[in-house]
Amino acid sequence: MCNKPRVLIVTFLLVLIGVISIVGFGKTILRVASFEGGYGVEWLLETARLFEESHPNVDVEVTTDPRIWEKVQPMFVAGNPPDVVAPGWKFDLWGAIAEGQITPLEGYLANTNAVDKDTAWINTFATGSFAAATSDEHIWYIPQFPSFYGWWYDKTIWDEQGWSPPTSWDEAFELFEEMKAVGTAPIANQGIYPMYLTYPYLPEFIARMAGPSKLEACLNLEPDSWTDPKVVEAFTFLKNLIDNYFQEGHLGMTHLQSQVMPLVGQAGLVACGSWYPKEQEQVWPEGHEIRAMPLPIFPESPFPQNAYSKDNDSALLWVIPTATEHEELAVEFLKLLTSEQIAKYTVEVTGNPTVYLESSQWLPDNKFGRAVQSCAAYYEGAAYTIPKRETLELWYPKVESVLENSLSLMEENKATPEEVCAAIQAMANEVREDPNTMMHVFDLGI
Amino acid sequence: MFIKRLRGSPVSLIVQLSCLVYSLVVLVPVLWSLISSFRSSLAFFTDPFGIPSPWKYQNFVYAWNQANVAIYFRNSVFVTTVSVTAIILLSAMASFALSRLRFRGRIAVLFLFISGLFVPAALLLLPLFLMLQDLHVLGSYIGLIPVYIAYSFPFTVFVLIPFFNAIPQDLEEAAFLDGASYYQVFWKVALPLAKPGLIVATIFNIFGIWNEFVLGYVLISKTSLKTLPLGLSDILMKQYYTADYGKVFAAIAIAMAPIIILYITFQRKIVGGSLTGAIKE
Amino acid sequence: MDLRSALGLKQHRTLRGKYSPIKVVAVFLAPALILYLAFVAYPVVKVFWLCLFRWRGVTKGTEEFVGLSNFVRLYHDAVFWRALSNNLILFAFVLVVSVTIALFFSFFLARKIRGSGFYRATWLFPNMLGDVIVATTWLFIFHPTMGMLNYFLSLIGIDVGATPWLGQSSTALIAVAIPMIWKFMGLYIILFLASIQEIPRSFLDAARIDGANGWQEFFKITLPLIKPTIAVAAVFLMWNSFSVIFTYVKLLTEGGPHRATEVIPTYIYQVGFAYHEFGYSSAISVASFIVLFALASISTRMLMRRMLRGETGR
Repeated sequence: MCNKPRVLIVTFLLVLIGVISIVGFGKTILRVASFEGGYGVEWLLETARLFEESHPNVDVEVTTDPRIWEKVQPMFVAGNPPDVVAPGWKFDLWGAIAEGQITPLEGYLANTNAVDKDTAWINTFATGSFAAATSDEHIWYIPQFPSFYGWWYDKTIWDEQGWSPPTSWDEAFELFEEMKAVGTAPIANQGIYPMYLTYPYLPEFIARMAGPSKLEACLNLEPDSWTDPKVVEAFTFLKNLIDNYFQEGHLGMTHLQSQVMPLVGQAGLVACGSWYPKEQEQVWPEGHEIRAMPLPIFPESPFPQNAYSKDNDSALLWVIPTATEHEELAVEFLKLLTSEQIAKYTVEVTGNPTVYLESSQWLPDNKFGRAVQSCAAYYEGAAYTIPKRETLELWYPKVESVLENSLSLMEENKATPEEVCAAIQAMANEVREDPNTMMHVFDLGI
Repeated sequence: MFIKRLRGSPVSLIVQLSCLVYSLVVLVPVLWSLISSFRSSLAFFTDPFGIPSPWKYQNFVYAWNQANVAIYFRNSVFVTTVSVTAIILLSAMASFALSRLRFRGRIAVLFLFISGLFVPAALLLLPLFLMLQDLHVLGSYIGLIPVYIAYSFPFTVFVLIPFFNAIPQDLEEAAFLDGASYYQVFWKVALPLAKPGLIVATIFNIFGIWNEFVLGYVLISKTSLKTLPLGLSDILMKQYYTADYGKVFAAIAIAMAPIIILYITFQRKIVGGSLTGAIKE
Repeated sequence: MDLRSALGLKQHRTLRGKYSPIKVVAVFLAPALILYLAFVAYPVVKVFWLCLFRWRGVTKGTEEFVGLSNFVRLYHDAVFWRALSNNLILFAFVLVVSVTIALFFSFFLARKIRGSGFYRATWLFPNMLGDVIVATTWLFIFHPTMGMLNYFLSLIGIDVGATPWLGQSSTALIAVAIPMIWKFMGLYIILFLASIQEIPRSFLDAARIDGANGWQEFFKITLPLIKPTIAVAAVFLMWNSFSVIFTYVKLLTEGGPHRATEVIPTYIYQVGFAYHEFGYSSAISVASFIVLFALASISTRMLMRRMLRGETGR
């Protein structure tokens, strides 16, 4: 009894299956890839579903991943990127733009209409949505979720304890002592991820203590900006908070482990973006309410007080690679994603506003909506906003990397604020002086 | 004699105590995560070591459905079955050839396979990724399974050859005299006699492929195709965004269940296998 | 070069005592060999080729030939040396701790203390669990405030407060090693046990008659005789420590805090997939292969001899 025929048959079948899967069945496949995280992906899947309904000849293939950039970057290098992609904040977006790998979208935005509307696509977006996305008069990406950064707290627990949101740092420090007295750590922190120290502590401290022009200098990588004594003071202030008011053990906590602390009374506050309420869904104590507040002010600061940290979540910035063979389809997909219908659906399902004009009107009257509403009021009424994720993080990833590393060292007392600032300045100089770097202009508009 | 001196001596006490302590170290983490899978995430946060009350079976339902553990489970079964079948079949054939046949370059081929023991797949993720992408099989089982099979050869061949070597030549010579072909000698004489080795190799490969993570992490991205380890790590990483620890533990419990069952059933063979053929000298 | 005489082999006795028909050899060997060459050998070759290029961006076809300059860069790359040293430290630490404790347990288990059957079965169990399950479980055990480790330490009187084992660079590397030890120790105990039980009683009896006590028996007889098993176990651990360790680091610490637990596979992955520098990533792979081959050449001879046993007249 010979094995040969069996082996041959199996091989033939495998080859047959392989050929079929490569050749496909004749439909156009639109490949969509996206980051998957706090906002979930229901809205994306709904968009794909609707798109397939209206385009019977198209199959939408959706890939989502918490670390999507690891999957997408090699695809770019191999010349085969997806057709529509939100590659996450660790993707070297501006590097790809500088190489001509990303399709500029201002033409479509200005000259074509939004889905089911009589007005240009770009008019359906909240004002200023494309501020950081614009360079050289081209608009390179379409953001999706605006995010406010501040302190989040459990209102129910605070009411029980008789605590109220401090407006100045003096009040804050008094409140912290009260919290410590009842055994609650004042501030929880996502210690494993040093970048949370910039959501929004550091940028706000620099702006308020050193002044807005200093913040601009820092984010424009100007010489002697990060090493300016006032900026060092801002870092020192942050260090003081870490050493005296951050929860013990925060260095070993992931963002989820730390973010639940205010909800169970083990910490008073946690700094986060406005994805916070949805992220806490599974550990939200029954009947509790969550609220947000901006960081306390420095009364003597020259910085206008009605200014808050806000930008567009860099986890979900949508681009169309130039290597795509289905550019029109990709644009139509993005239009559907940013249409009123999907925007409404997204807001209801995630409890977060989108960049759609006045989308916070659709915030559901549930615990998510109420929580986010408490912060939406701030940034929608703000005179100025301080973006960081769409700016420093995306524009100059090398500087961001040194910043994160240094903050991590500072947290562990392995580097002083002076050393940290010096290290950041060194990298800032290097990046600025590199002729290959694409420079941007950071302007607070004050 | 040493054995007699052992009982009742302080040495014996220390030894017994250490054995008990180590057994606890082994069992307690497993039990803790199993028990925690019946608790709600909030309960877990407030009191990590409490007894479940109430016993939240919904965690399992949720993990099985919404968290896709059912899909991951099914995929693992499929991938493991197909891969291990192919591995054992092809390795047995190759080991038979390397052990019993004679051809020029035999030693070189043997060396080629054995040197693969020092080639960790983790160092070759990039070329594999690029290669599968060029062949348009990236992200599908048509790419993944051949890769799994290929990387299992060094170890499996390493295990099987001594078993084939140990088969007495006379039996085979006798079969030839009876007019058997090479294939019949392989199928009817060599394989049955190498059965212990095949069983050991099968067991190790089942566990190896069922638990494989590194290659799958790079080569598979579609949720519908992920195996249990990939799915579990996904749930864990997504729990970085939704804090549902009850679900994570439930998923771990579901993933552990077949291993526990398999282990208890085949425990003798597994322990025996490790003892007899696979790795010892 | 004659591989055969290099390995000290005599004539190979085969079926029918002569060269087998090529067709037969092909049928038996070809499927495995083809798959192996395609997916194992070819990537190795490719990695040696890719390491000579440099990718600067994400555009296809823009890589440039840079010869060996990636290796010059590697030489000056502090992260690479950190990753390599972390890798080797982890390997050594896991090896020494596992082998020492495993020897202890296997020695006494061989003397059939009470419950040895139960122990054998229990201790091998973690080895069956996948790395993802083991890593995830220990991720929760190490949690500063909700984890079992700090809780138990406080129960037995050692108050470490809320030490973040995985979050501070002083303890992170050891913390990553613990789950691996937890997983592999049982296997080593079983292996060493088997080896010990293989030692002929006559040896031990003779030693006892000569007046040797327990310690001498262990160090002078048992240990030397099971050295080969320890060596094989070390070889497999080395292989694991360059591949499987990816899973543990990725899930427990992602290489942090600031590279304290970065290891070679995670660095290769990061450079290749997160920084899209295919050439440099391949250079790291090549460098690691060189290290591995150096370590391996010692054991290959021994392994090959084992494969070809029956031909050496033993």
